[in-house]
Amino acid sequence: MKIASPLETHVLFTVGPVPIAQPVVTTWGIMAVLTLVSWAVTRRLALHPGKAQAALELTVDMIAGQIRETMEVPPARYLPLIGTFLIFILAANWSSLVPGVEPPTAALETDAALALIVFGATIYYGVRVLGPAGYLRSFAQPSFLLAPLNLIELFTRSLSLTVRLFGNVMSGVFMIGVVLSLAGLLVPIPLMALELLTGAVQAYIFATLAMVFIGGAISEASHTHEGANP
Amino acid sequence: MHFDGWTLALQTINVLVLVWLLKRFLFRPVADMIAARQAAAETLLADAEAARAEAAARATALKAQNDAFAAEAVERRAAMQAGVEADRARLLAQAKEAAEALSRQAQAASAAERERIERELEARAGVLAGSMAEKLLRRLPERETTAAMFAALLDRLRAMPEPERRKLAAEGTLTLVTPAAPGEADRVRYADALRQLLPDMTPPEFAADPALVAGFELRGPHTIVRNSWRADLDGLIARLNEEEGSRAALA
Repeated sequence: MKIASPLETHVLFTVGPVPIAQPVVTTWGIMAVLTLVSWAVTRRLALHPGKAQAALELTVDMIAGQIRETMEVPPARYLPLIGTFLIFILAANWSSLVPGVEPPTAALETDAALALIVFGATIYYGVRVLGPAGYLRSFAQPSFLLAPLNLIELFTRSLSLTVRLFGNVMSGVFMIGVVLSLAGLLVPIPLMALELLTGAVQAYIFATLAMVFIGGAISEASHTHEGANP
Repeated sequence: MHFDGWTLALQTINVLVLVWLLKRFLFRPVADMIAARQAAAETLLADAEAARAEAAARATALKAQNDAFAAEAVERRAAMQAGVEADRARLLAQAKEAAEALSRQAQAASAAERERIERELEARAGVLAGSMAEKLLRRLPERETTAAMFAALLDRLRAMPEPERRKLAAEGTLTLVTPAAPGEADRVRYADALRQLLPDMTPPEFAADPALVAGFELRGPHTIVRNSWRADLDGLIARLNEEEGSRAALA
């Protein structure tokens, strides 16, 4: 339990000059589990699906539907990125249920990495769809005077993504650790259930905001509605 | 607060690798499967549409064939009716012709029968008239009629050419027939009168025949000289019948 300092990163070992922190190892574990489960589920897909395949297809189709509704574009190109955000953050947040495992999203570096990817993806897709000049012109919309603010917003919203996810997950983990150290074994269970809900909501929010940011970047009028900040 | 750049870099790489892994093992297979199912559904829909189109085309063809059959049936029915009408007209004509022939035949038979009956009636009427005349003539005095009729017989013999008279006298014994047997004196008188006209004849014989009514008949082996009312009545009836036959033939 993280009861000392939630801002400290615990290094498990080093590989040469590279320190391997606990969130990295946990992420590897989550990556392995997700990959294995995905491989196991998708290796025997059939035209006439079973219950597990139907649920999987329903989930993927739901994510694609969210992308289509939010970004108003065909979802195929953005589905792996947005779907990975949703699944990974959900799995990372819920990994706190495993005894002795600290969720990677409770580490500032993981959240910053996710926000950094969103930042890069926003620029990448904006340039790819609008072209470099078109993407740069989108910062001057609706007025050239707003270009500095739009440019600053490009960075601050990534920062807000990081801080929002980190604050929610880290605070939940920290509170559960404090209560567990003070009250006993079964007392933190309601808080853990609440943390499950919080984790799911934060995963959904992060994925939705990623869609909004990327969708705004590939639309010339995107800057007018990018202020979503739940 | 400590922010580890290595951890940031590793986590960034980890998430990017996870994006690739999930794309490879999760999203792409599922998307491909959904696309394959959509393609299969579209194929099924296309097949169903093709089957529907084929069924519609077949229904159209069947309807056209049905219409053709109906038209052919109407045509055949019309042809059959025309044939039936022609046969009916021909049969009617034949029947009418046969009926007319039968009618003509019946009319001819009826006319012939009527003519036969008329002739028969006329013959009977003639016979009846003869009988009536005979009865009426019998009421006349026999002596007067006999003398007159015998005188007429002699006139008829006298009117015959001489060779025929000689031939009549040479035929053999002549028989003088009278309605009633004559007395001896009459026989002598009759024989003497005949011998004056037929000097070569043998003495005649006498016979009685009431059918003569009145008069005489001189009968030889080959010749008969008739001068009786019977002969006259028979001659009248025969002439009357002959005249009726001629009139019927002209009609």
